[in-house]
Amino acid sequence: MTSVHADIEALKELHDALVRFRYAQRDVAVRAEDRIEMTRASLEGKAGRWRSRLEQRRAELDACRRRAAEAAAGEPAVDCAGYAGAVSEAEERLEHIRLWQFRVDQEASEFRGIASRFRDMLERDLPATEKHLLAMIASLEAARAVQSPRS
Amino acid sequence: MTPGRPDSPDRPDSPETPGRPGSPHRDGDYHLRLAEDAWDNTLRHWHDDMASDFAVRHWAPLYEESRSFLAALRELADVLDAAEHDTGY
Repeated sequence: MTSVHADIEALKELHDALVRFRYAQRDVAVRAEDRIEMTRASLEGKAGRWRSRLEQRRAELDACRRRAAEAAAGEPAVDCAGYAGAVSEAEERLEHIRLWQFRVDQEASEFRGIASRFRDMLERDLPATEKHLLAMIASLEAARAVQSPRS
Repeated sequence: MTPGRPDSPDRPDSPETPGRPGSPHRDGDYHLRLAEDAWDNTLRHWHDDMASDFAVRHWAPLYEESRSFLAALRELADVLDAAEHDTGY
């Protein structure tokens, strides 16, 4: 590279770097969206499992309470505290997961607004910038009568 | 190999394994730095009025929009990690 044409070579490198940047960041944006969906699916899976456990534990607690109600006088009292505790635990965990689902939806919504602007920039503004760079390179090459490998 | 350049092994934010994707925000940061390096190199050789105009009208908006996106992506990644970790009973 001669120093006379170093600016043209640098502009070509910048152009190529911006093209690579556009493809790479487009992939980053797609993977970010995938990551959101994976987390949402994971939380939904956990919520489903805890809903199922809650249903089962409530059935066990109901059965215990029926046994307690049916126990004859003089028989040892039926203690359902363990079943009640298990129901509470499942309710709390399910609620905790629901709160996270709400938070993730909120954060994802905010992120998508910013990501949408970024994708617009990648799809519309950046190609225009790349085109502008190519035009400047062509203009500089023409002015200096440099043979362009792109022409 | 130039120290501090993207292909340098001492560059701390480059992907650990080339061609293998890491977390999206780290890859996004890495690719922004590559573009930044190319821009810095261009500025070393390009000093006319067009360079100033390009900086204001093209590079600055691209850079700021990218930084804004990547900051939001980092925050989102923290929330998603916390959601997974905090519900991992």
